Amino acid sequence: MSSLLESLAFQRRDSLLHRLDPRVKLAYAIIMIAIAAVFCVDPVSLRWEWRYALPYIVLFALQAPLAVLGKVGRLWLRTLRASLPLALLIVGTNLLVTWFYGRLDIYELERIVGMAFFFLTLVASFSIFTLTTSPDDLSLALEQMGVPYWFCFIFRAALRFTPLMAREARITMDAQRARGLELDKGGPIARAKRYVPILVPLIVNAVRRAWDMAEAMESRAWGAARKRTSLYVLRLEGRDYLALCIMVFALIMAIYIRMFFGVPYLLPYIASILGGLL
Amino acid sequence: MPIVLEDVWYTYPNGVDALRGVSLTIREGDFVVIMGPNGAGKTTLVKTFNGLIKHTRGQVLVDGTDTRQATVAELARKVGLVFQNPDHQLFCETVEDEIAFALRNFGFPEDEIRERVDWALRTFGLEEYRDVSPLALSGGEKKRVAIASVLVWEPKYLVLDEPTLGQDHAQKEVLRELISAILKKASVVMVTHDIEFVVDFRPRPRVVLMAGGRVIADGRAEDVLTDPALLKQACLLRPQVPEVLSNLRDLGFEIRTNVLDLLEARDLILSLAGVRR
Repeated sequence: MSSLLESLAFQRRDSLLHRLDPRVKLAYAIIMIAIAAVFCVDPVSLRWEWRYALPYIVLFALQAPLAVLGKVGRLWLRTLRASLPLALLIVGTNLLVTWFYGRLDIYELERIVGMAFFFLTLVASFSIFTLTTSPDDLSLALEQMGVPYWFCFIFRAALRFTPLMAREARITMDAQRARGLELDKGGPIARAKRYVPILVPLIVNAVRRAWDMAEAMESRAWGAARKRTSLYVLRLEGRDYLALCIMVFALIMAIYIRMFFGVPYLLPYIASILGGLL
Repeated sequence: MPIVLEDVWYTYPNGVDALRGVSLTIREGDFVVIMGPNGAGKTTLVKTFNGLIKHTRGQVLVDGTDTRQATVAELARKVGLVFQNPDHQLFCETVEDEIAFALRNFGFPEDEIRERVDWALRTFGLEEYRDVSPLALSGGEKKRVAIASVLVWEPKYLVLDEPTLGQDHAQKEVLRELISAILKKASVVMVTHDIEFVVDFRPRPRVVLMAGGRVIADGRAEDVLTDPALLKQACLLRPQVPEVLSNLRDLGFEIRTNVLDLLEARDLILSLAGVRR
C-alpha cells in the first residue's frame, strides 16, 4: 500500500512533460479516459459494454513512451506494479462469476482482459499526470479554472501528505513488527486483522495532523481575504497548444475509428492462429 | 553472546549509502550511546539489530544468529526496539492491552501475560492508567507505555531511539532512573542527540559517534565527548563542563579538559586557585 502511495508522488525533474502546463496534463489524463470510454460505447445503440481488449492494450502501451519522455519511467512502472493486484482482482472475480454462470469462453476472456487493461490505462495515464505535475501547479491550475480555493487547498494538501503517510505507514509497520507482529502469517482474514495495529496509529496521526494544520493556518489568517490574487499566473504556450491539438485530434480519431471501423477481437484471433498451427 | 557487526553496509533503494562499513560489538550488560548528526545512519544501524533492515554487505550476528537468516519476530525476542515517536505504535483501547500486545504476538500464556503486565504497570508508574486509552495520555506517559510495551517481554538488549525527544527535565529524570534500573537486567543501546542527558549518567555509558554512515569514535564518554575535533565532526556541542575547562586552558591555565563530572571540575578549578579540599 505504501509503495502505491509513494509512487503517486510528484518528482521534481526537468523534462518536456514537467514543463507542460498542468491544465494540459490534466486534460491528457481526462482525454485518455474519454478515448478508453469511446471503445466501451456501442456506436449504434450508444450503450456501455465491455467487449474488446485490443483498444485498451494499445492505449496502455502508448503511455510507456510518454513516461520515458517525462523521465519518470521507473516510478511509473512501480505504480503499475503496485496496481497489479487490483487488476488481477478484476480478472479473478470476473473469471469466477462467468465460470459460475457457465458462460466462460474465449470472448468472455477477451472482455475480462479488456476490463483489466481499461483499469491499467486509467492508472497509467493518471500516474503520468501526478508524477510530472507538482501539487502546487495542480492547485494553481484548478484555481484558475474557477474551482473554489478551499477545494484546491484540500486537494493540494491531500497530495502533499501522501508521501508523508506512506513514510508513516512504513515506520508504524516497523514499530509493530519490532513488537512481534507478523504481517505475512495466516490466511487472508487473519492477515487483514493484523493491519489494525498499522491503520489505527496511521489514521489517528492523520486526524491529529489535520487539526494541527487547521490551527496553524487559522493563526496565520487563512481565509481572511475574500478575493485571492495569485503570485503566479498560468499561461498556455505554443507547446501547450500543440499538445492539446494532438490530444483532441487523437480523441476525434478514436471516435472516427469506433464509428466507421470494426474493432477486431484479439484473443479469438490468437486462438484461431494457434489452432491453425496445431 | 553479544551483538556483533562486521563491516556492515546498507544502501537504501534510492541509492543512499546509510551504513558504510560499520563494525561494532555490544556485549551483555553494556550501556552504549550512539550519537551523531541527522542522517549519520544511527536509526538505520539499530534497525539492523532486529532485522528490520537486512544489511546489504557484511555480517550482523545476534547471539550467534545471522540476522539475515532469522525473522524480525524471532530477533525481536532478544532485541527490543523502542521507536522515537510513541504515536507511531500506540493503537490499543487500553494501556493494559497495549503492554500485552507483544506478549500475545509471542504466544505467552494468558496468566503469565497478566503477571508481566502488572509488573510493567507497577515499574513504569502506570497502574492508574491501566484502563485508559494510551492515545489520551501525555507525551511523557506515552513514552513510558511504549518502553513498557517492549521491556515487558524482557529482551536481552533494549534499544531506545531518541528517548528524550520532547521530554521535559522531570520526565528525563524519570527516564534516567528507568534506564538505570533496566541496566541491571539488560544491555541498553540508546540513540540520542541529548549530550547533557548522556553525561549525567552514573556509571557513564560507552559512546559510539557516527557520521556519514561510519563509526568515527567508540570509547569512554570522558574521552569521546571532550574531544572538540570529534564533536565537530558529529555536529555535537561540547558539554558545559569541558567547555568551561577548555576556556580556562585557553586563558593559559594548566588544566585537564577531559572531565565531564561537575564536582571533579570544581575541585580542579579550586586547586588552580590554591584551595585544597
